[in-house]
Amino acid sequence: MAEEETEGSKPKGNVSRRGFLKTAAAGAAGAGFAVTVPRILTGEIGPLSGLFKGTTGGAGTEPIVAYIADATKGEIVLMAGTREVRIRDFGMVSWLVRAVAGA
Amino acid sequence: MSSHREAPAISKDPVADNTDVYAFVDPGDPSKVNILANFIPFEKPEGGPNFFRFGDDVLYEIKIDNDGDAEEDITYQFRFKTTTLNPDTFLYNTLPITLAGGPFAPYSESFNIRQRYTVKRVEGDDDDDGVVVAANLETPPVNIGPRSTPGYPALAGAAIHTVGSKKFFAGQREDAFNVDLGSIFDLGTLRPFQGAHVLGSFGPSVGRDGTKGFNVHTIAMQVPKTDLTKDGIMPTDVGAAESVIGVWASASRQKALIRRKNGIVENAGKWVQVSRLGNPLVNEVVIPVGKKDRWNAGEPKDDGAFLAHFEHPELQTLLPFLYTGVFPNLAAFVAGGGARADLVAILLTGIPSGIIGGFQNFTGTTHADLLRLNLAIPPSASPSPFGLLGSDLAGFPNGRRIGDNVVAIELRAIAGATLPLVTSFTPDGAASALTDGTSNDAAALGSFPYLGHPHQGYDHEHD
Repeated sequence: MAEEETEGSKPKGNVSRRGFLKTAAAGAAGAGFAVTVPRILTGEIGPLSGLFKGTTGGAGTEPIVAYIADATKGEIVLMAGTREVRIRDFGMVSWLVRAVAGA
Repeated sequence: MSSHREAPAISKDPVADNTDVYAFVDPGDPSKVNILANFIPFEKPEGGPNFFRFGDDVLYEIKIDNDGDAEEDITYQFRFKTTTLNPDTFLYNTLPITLAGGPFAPYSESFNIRQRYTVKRVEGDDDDDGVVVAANLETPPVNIGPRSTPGYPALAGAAIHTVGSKKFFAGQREDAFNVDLGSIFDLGTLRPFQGAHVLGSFGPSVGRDGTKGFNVHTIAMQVPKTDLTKDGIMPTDVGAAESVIGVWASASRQKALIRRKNGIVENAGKWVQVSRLGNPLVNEVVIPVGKKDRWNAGEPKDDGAFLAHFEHPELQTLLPFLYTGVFPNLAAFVAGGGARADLVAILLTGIPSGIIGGFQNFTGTTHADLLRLNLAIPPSASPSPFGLLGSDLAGFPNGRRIGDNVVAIELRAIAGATLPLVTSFTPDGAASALTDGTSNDAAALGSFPYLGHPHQGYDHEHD
């Protein structure tokens, strides 16, 4: 049966949520664009509704889904509500790929 | 079928499955046009306790091209939201559902599982520029039976919403499409002609309507013509390009779906189209199975990629094979490799002026599956179910009315009945007589939303 994160569960291995957020923030800032996305993730700014205009939840409660269609391009698609943000960060993608490989 | 379960992917997602689209000038008020889009094929009327309803997680759209580029200029978006008044019962309705005032109006509190919707109008292709036309519009209950939904026409009538000069209805309706599924999918058998079928000598018989006794869910709107035309003109000139609109409907789902262990399902991402429909039967019988899912995900403006399937439809090859000796002229045409310019015109570009006297619904050279409607042509006083083939300019393929027999019309067209419009060709005698022998099993309404009331769960029949 597939594993799924539940409330209160701890991430496996060395892939911690806090570590992911820090890496995401650093990676996006280093790439020079989409800096606001990690700021959302780290909680430095308010609800998602202001950034993801038109999202269905509106209160920032909906999940954010990160999607890597092609790791060789270093592109991550972040989906929240009906909005999508694309960021390009080879470092972060590489880190995530290694995390998956070691999971 | 027009488009019921017509492609591998959408056959597993009925809530988002377009089944039919209708577009016709209103016979009672010719200044207005009706567009109806049906979804959810083969609703068994007794299918409780979770009776059929629209998807809260589906974006339903009706799109209009009014300048001939096969891209949407006007879009009506419909989003639904379900509310359960009492989650501690398994019942859809706790007592008879009646009309009532008060906090649960227009229905009694006994109507437990309800759905309301929002209508948004978008100009161009940027959803952010849309304007909410109406919100919290009520859908009617499904037709359960004489104890649960007594006086159903009145219950349904309470869900016809007038918003300014427009009307909207969304809810369960009788499936007006009729077709002999059991026969046609048994290797192309048409019961009235099965005595000539190459496989078996069965005597001719009447057709059996495969959708008899089944319901669909309909999104219907009646709007002024000027709401849909370029620059808001009122079309009066049949020959003018601005008099023709192209119509199609679609359903979209968000890109990502996450299933949690606690039963909660969450969606994220942009809308991705999973179903679309303009002309009836196109994805059903023209597009091959290996391309059907791609067709459903595509845009009409890109339909040129499928042109070969319209120029050389598989069915025109099958007919002479299955009915040996019945279609010799069609067989000769197929053997000669000629392209079906008539079908391309009817289904992909519209019919230009000069082909049929007093008629055109040409939208330009862009190949696109659009249901084209010349709004300057008035409604017919005596509609022919064979539409244009019956010399009725107000019927399919000039839009589509409830009573248009699109199965017979398209069978006859593919068999060669419309080929003389574009080339020297003598249709086989059978071409103008082809039919699956079915007719609809319920009467249409005389006014909006036109599609008949749904079959009730308690008492209905299938063929």
